[in-house]
Amino acid sequence: MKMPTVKWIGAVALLSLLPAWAGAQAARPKALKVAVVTFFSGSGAVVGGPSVNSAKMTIDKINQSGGIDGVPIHAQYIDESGGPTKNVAEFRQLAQKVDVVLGYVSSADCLAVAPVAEQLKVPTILSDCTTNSLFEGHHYKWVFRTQPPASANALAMALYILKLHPHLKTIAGLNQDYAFGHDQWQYFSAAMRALDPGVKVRTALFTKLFSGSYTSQISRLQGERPNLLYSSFWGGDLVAFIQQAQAQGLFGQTQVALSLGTQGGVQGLKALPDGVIVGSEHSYLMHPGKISNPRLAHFVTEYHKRFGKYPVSTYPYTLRRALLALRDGYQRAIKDNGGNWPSDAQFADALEGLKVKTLMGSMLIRRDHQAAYHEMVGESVHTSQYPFAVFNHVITFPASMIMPPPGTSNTGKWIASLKPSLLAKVPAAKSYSH
Amino acid sequence: MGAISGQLLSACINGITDGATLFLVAVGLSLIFGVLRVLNVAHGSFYALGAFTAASAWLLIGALRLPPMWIYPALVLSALAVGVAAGPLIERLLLRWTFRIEAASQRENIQLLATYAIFLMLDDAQTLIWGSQPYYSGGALRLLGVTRIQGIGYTNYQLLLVPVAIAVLVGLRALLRGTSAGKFVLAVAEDPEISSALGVPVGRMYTLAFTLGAVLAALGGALASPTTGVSAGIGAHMIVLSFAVVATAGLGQIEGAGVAALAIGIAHAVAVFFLPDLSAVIPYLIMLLVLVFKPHGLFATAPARRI
Repeated sequence: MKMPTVKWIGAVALLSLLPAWAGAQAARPKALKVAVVTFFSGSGAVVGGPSVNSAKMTIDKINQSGGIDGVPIHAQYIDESGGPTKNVAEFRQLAQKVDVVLGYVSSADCLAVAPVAEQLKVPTILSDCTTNSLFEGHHYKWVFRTQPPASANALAMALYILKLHPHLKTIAGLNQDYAFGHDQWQYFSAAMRALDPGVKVRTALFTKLFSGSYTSQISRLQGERPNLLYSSFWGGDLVAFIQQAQAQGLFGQTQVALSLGTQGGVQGLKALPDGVIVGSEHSYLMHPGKISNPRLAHFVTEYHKRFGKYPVSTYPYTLRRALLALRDGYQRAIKDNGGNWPSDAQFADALEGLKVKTLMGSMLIRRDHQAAYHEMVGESVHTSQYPFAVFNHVITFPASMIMPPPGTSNTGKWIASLKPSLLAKVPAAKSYSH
Repeated sequence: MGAISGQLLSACINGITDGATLFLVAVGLSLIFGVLRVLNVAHGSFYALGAFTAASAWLLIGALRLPPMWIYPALVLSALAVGVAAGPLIERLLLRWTFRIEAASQRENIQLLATYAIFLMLDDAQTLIWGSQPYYSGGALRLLGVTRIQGIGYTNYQLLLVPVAIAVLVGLRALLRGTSAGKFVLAVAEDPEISSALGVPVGRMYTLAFTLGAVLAALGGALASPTTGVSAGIGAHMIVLSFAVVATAGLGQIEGAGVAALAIGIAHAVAVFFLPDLSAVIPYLIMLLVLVFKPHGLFATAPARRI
């Protein structure tokens, strides 16, 4: 009688293991369903157009080369316009229909969506929003961000200005009146003060998001004549500001620094005069290796051929980077899972510590789910080669220099603790002819 | 000149130029309310349509390599085209039936809902026609050059908006008080039933006043287009601001709308210089302050005299 009892116990034990085995063996889907969320309407549409163009190109390329381990990506594109409440409601619906959600431009939307993604256990890769507070004091399992935080861009701008224009001692700010604009100004002004105690902050102006008219603000700045005006305007606001500042003659009176200056697209760069300091974590026209990097040159040629436009702003690269993380993350998870299709949790685990090869260097998704990536800053110049401004005197700031370390709970404090000696480590500017 | 007085001067110049555009839109809203007694939420759409049409005209002038100066008559023609095409169509097809509702409160509620529905439809129509990408015609802002006062640049284009707004105000007064059509409009504004009994074509006067209001809003949008980015949604921002102007002045007040637009424009610009944190809400604070002490607006008495 002993033997049958042992057999029964063994059988029950084996059966009890089955669910665990089945969990790790997610069925290989016919397609990987992905929702891509970005702005298609309003002033934010300047972001959505090039982002989606590039996303379509990237998805086509992945699918043409066999998809992800034979599984093609099927994307549906969702308009982000409408605010956080609408986006949270939409996210809840998407969670029922798709495997992964990518995108989001507005920091307010990212902050609203992230806890819901966590609650619903949906792998979510945020591609554009930059608010530092997303990961300050929060640790997510299901939420990742492939865009550097706002502070990295602001700090790179401060380092560039103090390195190449140390005589600019009085500064003013003109930023949009919402979380991102306030964060950018706080980080930039704190960095300027920490890295050069002689810097004086004159004025900080904030304008309603997408208000489109800045003539009074420009007049005030012209009256005050700060050495430097810092603005983190983006999208339609950026283009409108450049045109109005150009018409009123601001650029000739004050050195202007636009932390997201490529983000007005071709229209913005056409109106941009020479000598404006411009930041971007990506823009092929800013990249000294643009001629020697065949992958980047190929991407630019293909993009121009397909859409009739140059991918001049950051946006054609942000969703692309998120999609590459998606592809590489799945490939890694499949490998870790013995060649089988991974569960959502296995995919999320695989994204941690993932290194992604992009068109302009590599990106590391840190353990805190924030991607570490470089930033570039240069100065605008018009040439005969392109019908819009390109960049010169470019400094590429490595991620290790400008990113708050993992676990930083207060980026403002971290920036304020920086020492002027950091300037000695700033790489030399590269000047090159276009 | 001291720093403070220099800043005040600059704020006033900016405020007056901003007030000029605001006046054009608000006076149209006031005119429509004065004559038709309709609070036209769709008024912001006429502003947006004027701006989009003008921005398209700028692109067309560039594409056809026409002299850039042609943009200035094109701005006015854009406004006329929008107002004359959309005004009568909307008034006759979508609003006229509401005038037959007898109960005043029910009529007003339905008109408010109807104009809101028209606003939503026209907002979607803008996206359908012009897409979601913003349009820019900043080149037209630079063509006329810049005037510098104490080192601060003011575009001559924006300075010229002030005499344009004054001309519209004077022209509107002359039209309403100096022509028979205008006098008919005033009569209808005063009492449509008696006017009708006396043989005034009330329906036609409604169409005329609504079209004129639409042209004025479209003119505001067309003239503002070189100074800003034109994208879907700009009408909503302007209609809210226009309501603030009209409520401050008193519904149906034409000259009052001019004074209120000027006051709100200057107050906003002064706030940008001296109280920047309040600049976005200052138009509404002024409106609130006026309505607390004069519930019918600065220039209206109870019951409101119309026009």
